Amino acid sequence: MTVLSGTSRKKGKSLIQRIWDFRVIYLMLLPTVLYFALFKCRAVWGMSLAFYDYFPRKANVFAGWKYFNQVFSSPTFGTIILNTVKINLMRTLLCWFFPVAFAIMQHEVTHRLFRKTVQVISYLPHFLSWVVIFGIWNSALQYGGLLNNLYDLFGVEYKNLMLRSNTIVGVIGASSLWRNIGWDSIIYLAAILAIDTTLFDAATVDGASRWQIIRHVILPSLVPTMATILILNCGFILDAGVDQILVFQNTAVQSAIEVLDTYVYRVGLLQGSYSFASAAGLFKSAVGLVFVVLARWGSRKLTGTSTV
Amino acid sequence: MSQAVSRARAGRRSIRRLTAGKVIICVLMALLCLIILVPMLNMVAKSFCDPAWVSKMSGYQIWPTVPSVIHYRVVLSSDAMWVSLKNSLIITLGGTALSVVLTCAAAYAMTRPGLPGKKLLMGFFLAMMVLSAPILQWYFVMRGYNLINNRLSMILYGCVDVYNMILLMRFFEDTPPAILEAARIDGAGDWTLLFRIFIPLNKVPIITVMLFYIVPKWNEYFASGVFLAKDEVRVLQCYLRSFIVDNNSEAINSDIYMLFRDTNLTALQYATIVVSTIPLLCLYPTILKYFTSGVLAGGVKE
Repeated sequence: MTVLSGTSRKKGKSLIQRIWDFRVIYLMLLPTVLYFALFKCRAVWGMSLAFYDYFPRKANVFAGWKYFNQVFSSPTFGTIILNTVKINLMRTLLCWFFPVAFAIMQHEVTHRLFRKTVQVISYLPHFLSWVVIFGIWNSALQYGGLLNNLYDLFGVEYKNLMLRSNTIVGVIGASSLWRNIGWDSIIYLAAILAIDTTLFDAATVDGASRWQIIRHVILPSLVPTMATILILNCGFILDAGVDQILVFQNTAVQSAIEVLDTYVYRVGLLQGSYSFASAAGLFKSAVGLVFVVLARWGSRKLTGTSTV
Repeated sequence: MSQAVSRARAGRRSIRRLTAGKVIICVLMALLCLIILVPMLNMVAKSFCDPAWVSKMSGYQIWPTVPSVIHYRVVLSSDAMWVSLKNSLIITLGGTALSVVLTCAAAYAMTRPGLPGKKLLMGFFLAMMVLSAPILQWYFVMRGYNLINNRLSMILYGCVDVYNMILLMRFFEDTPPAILEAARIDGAGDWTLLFRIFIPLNKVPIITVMLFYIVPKWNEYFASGVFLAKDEVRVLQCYLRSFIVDNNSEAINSDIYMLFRDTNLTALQYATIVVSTIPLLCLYPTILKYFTSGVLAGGVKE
C-alpha cells in the first residue's frame, strides 16, 4: 500500500488513491448500503416470484406470464383497482381542500392563545396510530355513541355507518381528514406566512376587504404549494393506506374497501397463493413507480426545485 | 361629499363584514376542536366510569357519571399488555437509536466534498426510496434470515429512510467550512468531526429526524403483525388491534378473570387505548416543538 501511495503522489492522485483516502467515509456508508442491499433489494428482487411456480422445499419452476394472466382475468381485480383509485382520489382531494381552508382560517385569527390552542388540538390526531383512531371512531359511530346521540337529537333513525358498505368509504375519507386536517395545514400556513407583507399593505391601502385579500393575495400565492402537494400525492395513487383500511375492514364491508395492498396481503400471506400475490404486488409496484417518478418530475418542472 | 359618505359607509360595511367573518372562522375552528376532542374525552371518561354506568353514558359526556379506576386496575394487571409494551419500547428505542446513527453517518458521508462515486451512491439511495416491495416479499426476506418472531426484524425493517437522510444532508451541507478547517488542523478524524461537530451543531434537525423515526415505529402494526406473530414478541399496537378491532377479549390475560368479570368490556378497551397513548402524549410537547420545523425544512427549504 505504501508503494502505491508513493507512486500516485507523484502523478497527482489516482482513483484508487482517492478511494483509499475516503476509506473511513465508505465505512460509514457501509451499514446503510448493506441494509439496502441485503433487505430492501432482496425484497424488491423477491417480486420475481411472480414469474415462478412456488415450491416450498425445492427450486421454483419458471411459469412465464401465467400468474399475471390469472391476476388480470380475476373478476375481483378490476373492482379492487377501482376501489383503490376511488378511495385515494377522495382522500387526496379532501386532504387537499380542507387543510388549505384551515390554514387560511388560522392566518385570519389574530388571537394568539386561541390560535395556538386550536393548533395543538388539531395536530394531535396525526400522531395517533390507526388502531387508536379506529377505537375513537368506533366509539363515536357505534349504537349509543356520539353520532347516534346527535341523530336522536334531530329525531333521525341511526344506522351504524361503519357496518354499511355504501357509507364506509365516507367514513374512511372523514377519518383521514380528521387525522390530517391540522397537520397538513402546516405547510400551507408556512406558505402564507412567507408572503411579502407589503402585498397585504398595498391591498389594504387599495381598499380591499379581508375576503378580497384572501381571494386575490393569499390564494394565488398558495397555488404553487397546492399544485406540488397534489402532484406528489398523485404519485401514490395505488397506495391506499393499508394501515387505515385494515382496521376499518369488517366482514360486512370488507369487499367495499378492499384495496390492492390489503388484497395482496390477504391472498398472499393469509391464503398462501404466493406467486399470484407477487404478480399483483409487482403490478402495483411497477405502476406505483411510474406514477411516483412522473409526479416527482412534474413537481420539479412546476417549482424548478428538487424537493424530495 | 356624497362620494365620501358612500366610501365611509363602504368602509364601515367592510369592517362589519370582517368581524362577522372572524366570528364565523372562530366558530368553525372551535367546532373542529370539538369534533377532535369530544370523542377522545368521551372515551377517557367512559374508561374512568363505574362498570354499571358505562353503557348509560351518552356519547358527548366528557366526565364519568360515577368515577372508578377499576378498568385501569384490570388493564394494568394484564401480563399480555406489559409484555407487548416492553416489546414496543425495545423496538422503538432500539430501532430509533440504530436508525439515527446510520442516517447521521450516511448523511455525513454523502456530504463530504470530492467523495468518489457520490453520484452513483445517491442514485442507489434514490432508487431505494422510490422502489417498494409488498409485505409478502419482506416476510420471505425476514424468514430467509431466520428473523421471524425475532424483535430484530422490526428494528431492521425500514431502518434507514432516505428522505430523512436527505433532510440531514441539507443541514450538514450548511455547516460553516471554517469550523471544519480548524478541526482538521487540530487533527480531528472523520469520526471526531461527525460526533463532536456535526451532531452537536445540528441538534434540532437530528432530534426532528429521531422523532420522524420514533412516531411511525411506535404506531406501526401491519409489518410487526406479520413478522412478530407469537405472543411473547407481539408489539403494543398488535395487542391493541386484537383486543379492540377484532374484539378478542382473550387478548387480555385470563388469570385476571376474577377482576374482569364485573367490568365493562368496552370500558376496558378504552382504558387500554388510553394507557397505550400515554407515552405518545408525553412526547407530544417535544414533537410539536421539532416536528413542525422538520416538516417545513423538508418541504419548503430552497
